[in-house]
Amino acid sequence: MAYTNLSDEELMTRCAHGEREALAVLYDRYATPVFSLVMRMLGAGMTAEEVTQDTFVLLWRRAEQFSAERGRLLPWLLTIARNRAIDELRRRQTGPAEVELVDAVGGYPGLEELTLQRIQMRRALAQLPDAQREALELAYYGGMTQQEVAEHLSLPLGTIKTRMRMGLQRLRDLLQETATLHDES
Amino acid sequence: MSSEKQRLSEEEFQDRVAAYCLGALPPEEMAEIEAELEHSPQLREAVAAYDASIAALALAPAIQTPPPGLRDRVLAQVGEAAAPPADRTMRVLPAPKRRFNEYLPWLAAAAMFLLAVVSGARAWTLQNDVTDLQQALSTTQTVPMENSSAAPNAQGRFYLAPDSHRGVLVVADMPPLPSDREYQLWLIRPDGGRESGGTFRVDSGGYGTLLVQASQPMHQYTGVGVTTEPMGGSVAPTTSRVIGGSFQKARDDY
Repeated sequence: MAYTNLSDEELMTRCAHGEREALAVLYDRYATPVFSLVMRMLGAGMTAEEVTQDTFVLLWRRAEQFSAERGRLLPWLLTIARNRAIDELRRRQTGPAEVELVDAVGGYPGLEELTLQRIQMRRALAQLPDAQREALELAYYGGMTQQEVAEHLSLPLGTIKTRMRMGLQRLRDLLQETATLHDES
Repeated sequence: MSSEKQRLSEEEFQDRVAAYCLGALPPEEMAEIEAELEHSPQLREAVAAYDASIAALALAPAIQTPPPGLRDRVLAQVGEAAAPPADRTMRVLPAPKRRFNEYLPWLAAAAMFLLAVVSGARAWTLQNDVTDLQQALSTTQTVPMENSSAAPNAQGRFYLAPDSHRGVLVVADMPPLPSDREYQLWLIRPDGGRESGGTFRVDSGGYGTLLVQASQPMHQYTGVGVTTEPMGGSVAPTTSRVIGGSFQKARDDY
């Protein structure tokens, strides 16, 4: 059986039935974005590998809970990874890994579309005002609450709330603009 | 307009939604919004409006290639997690104590499953489970264990497929043992000779299982017995039988 030709949803159904080859294909598809996110949150080291491992084991164990009607697999998987990484951050009670945004753009093998999306996303993020991007990154990658971000930056809570809201809205607008440009080109 | 929005100004509402999407609220507030999402289409729409922004954050980090061994570790761990359900459940099942009989049908199925697939000859899939279990159910023989004065409350069953070399012992209410001793199962040959079927220990409820791999097909033996032996087992029984069962008697009773 050519598992590599199956959709995410079909592979998840097979995971729920205990077919490890289905998990192997999902790992090949998504281990890179999962590991990249976890590394961004935790930095290099065994812990990032362990969290990535946990993420795929949880994917396997919760395969029955996945419903394609409620969304695509990758965001679900990244949410699991992020939650696990936040658990680890809280356990460590340290700050997020060093902020970095601009690097050489690589590629996800076999995931050209995702690579293109990712380039657009990075460009959009890079165009955010620094203050907004910082608030988003501390919350999303650092696992901080808005209160904790406010304390971390010694700023009023209201300021952080506004930066988060405006940052997400601006990011959405930038992504829409990029998508429109891409469609027109 | 949702009740959530009625309480809050539009800006406050959007602040809260943004913080929720970033996971930047305390757990209790996250839970409140999760609950609200169930019955508020407006809130769901507001959250969905940030999907693309959250995806951008999730996918923006610099690409890091997972180390080569990680894939194998994931699959190995899942392989353990996906070990035959019977085997896994038997380990975590609370000690049956006096309710041993209530578990019997289930234990029988579990034991037959072990008989059928524990050797791992085939890749584990649900369909294989069902097929193997059906085959095992049609051939497995159950031998009740008789106890002795050394273990007056002990109960047990030995499950075997007569033409195979494998059997499974399931016991409950066996006496606890000191740390330097363990139980050993003996297969009894027609000439009265004993062949070790392996050693095992029991949990605090006296509950234990043992998968036996014999040198001959099971129909070549007349029964099994269990003794206590020094840790690591003995080459021949050194103590009296604690429990045991006769294959012939089981066949006659059947």
